[in-house]
Amino acid sequence: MAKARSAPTETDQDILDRFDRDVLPLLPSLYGAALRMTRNPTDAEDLLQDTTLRAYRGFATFQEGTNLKAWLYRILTNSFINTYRKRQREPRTVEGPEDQEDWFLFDRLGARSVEPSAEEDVLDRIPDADVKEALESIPENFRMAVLLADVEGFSYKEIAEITDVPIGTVMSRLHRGRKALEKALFDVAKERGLVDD
Amino acid sequence: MTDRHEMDCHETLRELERYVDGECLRELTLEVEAHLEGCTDCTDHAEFQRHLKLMVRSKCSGEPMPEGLAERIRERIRSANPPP
Repeated sequence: MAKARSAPTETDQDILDRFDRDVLPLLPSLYGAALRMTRNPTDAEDLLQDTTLRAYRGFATFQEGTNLKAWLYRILTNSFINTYRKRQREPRTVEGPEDQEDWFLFDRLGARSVEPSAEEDVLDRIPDADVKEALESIPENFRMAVLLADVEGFSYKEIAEITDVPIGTVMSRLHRGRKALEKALFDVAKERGLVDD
Repeated sequence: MTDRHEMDCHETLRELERYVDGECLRELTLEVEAHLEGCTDCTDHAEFQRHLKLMVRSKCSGEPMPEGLAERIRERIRSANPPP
């Protein structure tokens, strides 16, 4: 990303102040993302500690005015991949719901209702914790794409930069991730009795 | 009048994910919108997709940080070596 030091006369205290001003307000959303990545609070806290320390070490060369949030998420993602994933014993899944049809959830929820917007009502009634669990259940590469796009609101281009893959790969992971998430949400809706089997 | 391509349902549904993500170029966006205007079925799909996206965002964000974590992070950074 940015190469030039933002101010040639910036002191260590200036850097700390800038870090407090610009990075601290983003900690809650970074923590939420860390939690969805690591799937447990202890690792999420460690990941956030590592991420912020790495960010601080690179902060003197980070140019103000460039995309700070994307830069921090890139560090978060790299830290997760390089450190925490190794601990998690999760195979780096590249397979996904290849054969699952598009509009999986819409077709199933829609077919069970006669009222307009009943599909949306079912979604709204799924408890927050179950939606988080459904997101955490999908394979990692897909989960990251859905997390960055739908929860964090990054564009395809930003996600490509954060995860260091081409935009086409982002789109493919996002599509497959959403299909996997729809399947997981439908299973939850069934378990909760929100839809018939 | 323009010579805009008229999309059918199949083409529209194929583009809908990118459209809802706000990632279509302007011309394609207008083509999708022109189709949606006259097609309730595709509009239902678009609304569902949008709702699903918003639901995931609202239910998966706003996680409270553990108490004192922000302060622990500030302290750790202050005790670290200054950046080069």
